[in-house]
Amino acid sequence: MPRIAHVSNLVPADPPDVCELAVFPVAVVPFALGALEYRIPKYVWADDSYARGVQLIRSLQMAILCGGMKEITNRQDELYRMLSTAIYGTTYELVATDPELIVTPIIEPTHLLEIENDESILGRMELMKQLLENGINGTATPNYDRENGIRDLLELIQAAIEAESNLDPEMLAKLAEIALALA
Amino acid sequence: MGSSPTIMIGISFRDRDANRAKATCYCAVGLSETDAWMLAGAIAERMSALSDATLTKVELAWRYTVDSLGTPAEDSDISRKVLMLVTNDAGDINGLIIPSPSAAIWETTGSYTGIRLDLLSAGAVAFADMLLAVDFRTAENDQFGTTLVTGGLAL
Repeated sequence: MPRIAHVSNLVPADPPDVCELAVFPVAVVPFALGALEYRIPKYVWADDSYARGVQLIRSLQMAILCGGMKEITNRQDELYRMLSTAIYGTTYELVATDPELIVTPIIEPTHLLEIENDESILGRMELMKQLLENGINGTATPNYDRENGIRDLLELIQAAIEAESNLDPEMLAKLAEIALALA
Repeated sequence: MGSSPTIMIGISFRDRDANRAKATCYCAVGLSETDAWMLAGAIAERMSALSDATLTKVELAWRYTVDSLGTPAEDSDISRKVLMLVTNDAGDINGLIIPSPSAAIWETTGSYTGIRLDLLSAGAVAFADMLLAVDFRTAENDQFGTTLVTGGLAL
């Protein structure tokens, strides 16, 4: 059994008190609380250090009881899931809240560049891209398959006008210019 | 309460190495507070004359013992304690240890299950109410506190 040394005349470091976050298993909390109680009696501290020393010990006991790290990491995960849903359209399911928050699918170290829902940001951008490809070039896409694109229609209009006898050269030139710009 | 109450007189000394020792004696509880202090002071003076250690403290404690003891619960265990942390108006944190906490006072959900005091438990609510009702003091005669912030199992 380890020998417990009698401690006295402790003097805490001077303020200001810098604070840090720490991660600890909750199972150690009862032992930490009990061990810290050995630093509460007045005789442990130097005469002018008692008030400050005890408040430092009490603040640590309160900190490890009030927790907070889990809430912070949960908030980080929630932020990640919000972005993942917004960007990729990933759908999450709340499995349990007690004793631990469990949400599926789990957060992987990386995310595939894969659109999971057309209503997501990337999904809507993909739809816009397909719409433009189909609308301008007439390219068939999974969601848009109109046969003639704007360029085709302009060329048809241009051809129709050219077939007419009374051509307006200026209008014809502008049409050719527009068709060229869309190429 | 008990049938043979006494006033405990504690007289503490400190030696050159800051070691402390307390001599304890008793007087009848029928003495007035003033008479009890006078008696304690006289005893301390006589003891101090017999000792080369320094007199550091004189304590009086009105002691009552319970006559009819109930049967402790099967899972009672005084090595288990609950540390109650309370804040006062100055923002100081003070603590109070209560031995052998009942299982009914702990949180039953979350990561602190069985470890942290459930502030909504009947015992915690009653304790918090008591803090508001009495002028609880520290050993330095400062306000102990009026707000029960948290509590936890201390081993």
